[in-house]
Amino acid sequence: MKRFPLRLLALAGLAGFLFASAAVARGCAAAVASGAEPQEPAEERLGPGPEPVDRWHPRGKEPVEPAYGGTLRVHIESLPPSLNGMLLNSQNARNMLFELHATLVGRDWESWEIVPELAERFEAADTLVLKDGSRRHGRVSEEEGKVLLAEPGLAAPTVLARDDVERVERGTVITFHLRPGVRWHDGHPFDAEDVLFTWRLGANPAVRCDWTRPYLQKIVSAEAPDPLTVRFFLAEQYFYSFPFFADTFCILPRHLYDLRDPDHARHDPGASDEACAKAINENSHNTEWVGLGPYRLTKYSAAGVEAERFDGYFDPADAGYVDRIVWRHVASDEAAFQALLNDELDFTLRISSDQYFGPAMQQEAFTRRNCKGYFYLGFFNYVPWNLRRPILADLRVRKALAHAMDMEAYVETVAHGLAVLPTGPQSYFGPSYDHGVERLAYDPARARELFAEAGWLDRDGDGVLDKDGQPFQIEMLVLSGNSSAELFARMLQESLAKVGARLVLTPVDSATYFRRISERDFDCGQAGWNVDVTENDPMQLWHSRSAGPGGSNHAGVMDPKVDALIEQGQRMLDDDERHEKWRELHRYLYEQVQPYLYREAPPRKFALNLALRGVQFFKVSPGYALRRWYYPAGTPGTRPTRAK
Amino acid sequence: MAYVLRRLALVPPTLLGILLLTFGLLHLVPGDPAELAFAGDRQGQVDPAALARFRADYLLDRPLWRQVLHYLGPFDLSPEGHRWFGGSGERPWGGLLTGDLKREIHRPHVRVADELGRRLAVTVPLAAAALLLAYLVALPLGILAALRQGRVFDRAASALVLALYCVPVFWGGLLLQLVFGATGLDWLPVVGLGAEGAPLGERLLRSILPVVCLAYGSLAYLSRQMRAGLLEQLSADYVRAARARGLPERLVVGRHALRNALLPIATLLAGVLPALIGGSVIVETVFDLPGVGRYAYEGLQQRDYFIVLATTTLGGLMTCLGMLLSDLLAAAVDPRIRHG
Repeated sequence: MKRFPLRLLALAGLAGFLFASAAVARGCAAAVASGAEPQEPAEERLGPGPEPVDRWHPRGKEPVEPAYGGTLRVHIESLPPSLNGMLLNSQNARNMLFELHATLVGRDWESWEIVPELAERFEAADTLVLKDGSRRHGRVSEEEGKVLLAEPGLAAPTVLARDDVERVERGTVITFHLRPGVRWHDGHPFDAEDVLFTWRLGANPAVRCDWTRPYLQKIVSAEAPDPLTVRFFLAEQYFYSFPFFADTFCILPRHLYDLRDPDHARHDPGASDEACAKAINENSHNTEWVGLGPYRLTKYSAAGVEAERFDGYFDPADAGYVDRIVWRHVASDEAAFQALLNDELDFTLRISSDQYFGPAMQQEAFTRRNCKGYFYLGFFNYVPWNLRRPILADLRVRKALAHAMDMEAYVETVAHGLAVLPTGPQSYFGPSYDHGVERLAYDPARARELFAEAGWLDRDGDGVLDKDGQPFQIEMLVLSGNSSAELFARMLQESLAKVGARLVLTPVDSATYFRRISERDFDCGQAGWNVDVTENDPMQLWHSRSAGPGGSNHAGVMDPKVDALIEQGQRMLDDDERHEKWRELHRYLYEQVQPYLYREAPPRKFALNLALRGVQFFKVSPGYALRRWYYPAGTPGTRPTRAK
Repeated sequence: MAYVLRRLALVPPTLLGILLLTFGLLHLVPGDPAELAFAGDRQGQVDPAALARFRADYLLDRPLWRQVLHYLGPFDLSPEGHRWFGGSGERPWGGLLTGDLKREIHRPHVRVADELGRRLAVTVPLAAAALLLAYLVALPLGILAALRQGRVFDRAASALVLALYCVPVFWGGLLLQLVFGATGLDWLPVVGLGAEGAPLGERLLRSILPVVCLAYGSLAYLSRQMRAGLLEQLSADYVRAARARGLPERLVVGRHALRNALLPIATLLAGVLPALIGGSVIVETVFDLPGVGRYAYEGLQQRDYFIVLATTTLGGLMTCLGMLLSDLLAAAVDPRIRHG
């Protein structure tokens, strides 16, 4: 009898276990319905081109009629503390601003070309720098030893002697002609003064626009000849000026941010620079955003950001299908996945490789409502070597380290083969990437040879290379809690140990990581760069001027040839010519400098509600345009026209 | 009354101690809000002058005592603060003593007190429901287990509460989601509390799993305490005497033993309350609830000193009040405590 309770307990436990298992199995065990498998993509295309619609939808080829209405619920894992793109460079904020705001010019998602947006047209002119130091602006041409300057408003060009001209700065006068009738989400008219005000932020050191200030300061002056025209004058010719206006220059509503604006609620014409900066830095509209995009923010809270379609959007043809977009803040990726399974989210990009390839996304609870897929942006992971450290200063050592790590095996095992392996800092899919550069293959024997050539041999037989009595030992900073970084670090540690190099892993929090990197107090670390698909200014990463404390040349590349290539490329306004220069830089950096151990460039993996159609993915950030997504006709809550 | 005042007088120094300890610990942790603000989103490209300006704005470049006094108040010690401390006099008063919990560092237009209020509106109802549930289940369970000591029910209940006590909250929460969500029975919503303005019924439905998850740990603890307390009383001399006098068992247990056994359970309420009000980072993360616990965690992640200090002070205050309540309850039932 005494044994009875135990038996009863065991039976009760078994019953409970079976109940739970049956409940879970109801969702898990069902096989994936045939036809619910996503279409396998063709090989990723390099360069621009049309992107397929509904590529990942199992019935994507079946035509459907778009309808208006409904709500789109998008997952964000962290809530940006500000949506003001001038003050904060947050990827989530940028993704939201893509729908909540507009820029002077945009980038065509498929051709990657700069196209009009708030500016209905734009043009670039030149600056003629004369030997007396004066500057004149217009279109400059040269003819028979003379320099012809076609200045705006003058019928005939001015002819100047070649000897009077110091130099010509091409494309340094940029004029934007703004669309008439554009209004902010609060109904206030948008005009050139808003644009000028935004540019002036860079001149006020108390405004926390530190990440955009270097770009703003490339513009030496600006003017607004009339309310719909704004003109910028650059100090010198610079290839990245239009991309800056397309991707970074986030126009602020002057009437809500500028205390000196007569339309500001707390108008104060004599407000100090400090007071003006405070009104910008601490402005409630940094979260309660008032923009110019097709969607108007209605709520910002700890739960996320909500927006509704803005009927006054200046481009009705591209004003979106769904009525509401909710960027729902779910901090835990696991909770987000549960939300997706329970039809509380429509789109998440926080999908791990294990989820993507494992049973989580094969269970019926997932496939009955969702599909999965991936798309590439310009992101890649890397290990920066600190070239300032004597132990890493030798190119042969850095090449040996690259030969020691089997990156193909890493990608195959950890990412299930779903990643590309880049060799350079420009986007793998863009025109500035040199696909002719051959990656240093996994070759431990060659690694040992290179170490030996550099004087590193295992002289004392302890299994660790040594030189001048010192063992080969380097420290890697690893961000705590970053499982991908931790896993890679352990694999690298094992690989290096096989060739006699000792890697010590030091877990650090993000503040410490960035402080040590910034102060150059590191041997190596792990990080990732988000790069634009077309091209990126290499100045920030590789020029010797960026190698000092605080600059982004963490590796400490101080190479005159690298500097020269960058400076030449920066002044080239011809796309093909400049891309060729970046490819040359890519090759040189990889073969002659080897400042990074390039890890993988993984795609963004996503899960998407099958009810959504019109879904396209692009290689231009953010990679998708929510305004193009729709629910097909017949979906409850939709209607055939935009008007309610 | 003198006893109450004596106990109340201990609250401010205790809170000050908590505040100083938190301040010290926060500054011992590597990294500060300025480094974080300039690190992540600026790709490591830092303008030293901008970093210095940021630090100056939040007095991070000042000695710790000055930062503590600035937070404590009532004088504002910032550059715009009181003239006595070299400020411009624009904003002479501020700090905790004036009810000012400062503004978030990374969202300077958001008052910490306002956000804390919004987070408490999520945490408090859930905590109250969890507490109620825990007591409603734990007390009868503990009483029945004590009355059936050593029998099947007692053993089964003991095994059950032990199992519940041992289940980690993150795992328990996930299991509840799997069983009751779309992957299992599909009976209940498993994430979030619904949109603002959602019908009460929907919000109640969405609260079920988080409340169960919050409650089951304390349920186990409380039921064990109840069982042990009642058993102790049942073996006391006065119970034996009551039985000897021929009182029915119902009265012996209900009127005598249970009343005395409930007293320690009532004082436990004071200990459980602050933990529940302080929020559970894990439950709030698993069920995606923007409550106080997650706010504290987010503040810690961002090294937002003002969020961490505010949530810690709130936790400290609730603990002090809980202990005070517990002492007062004990004193109310036992005059010997009041009179020392």
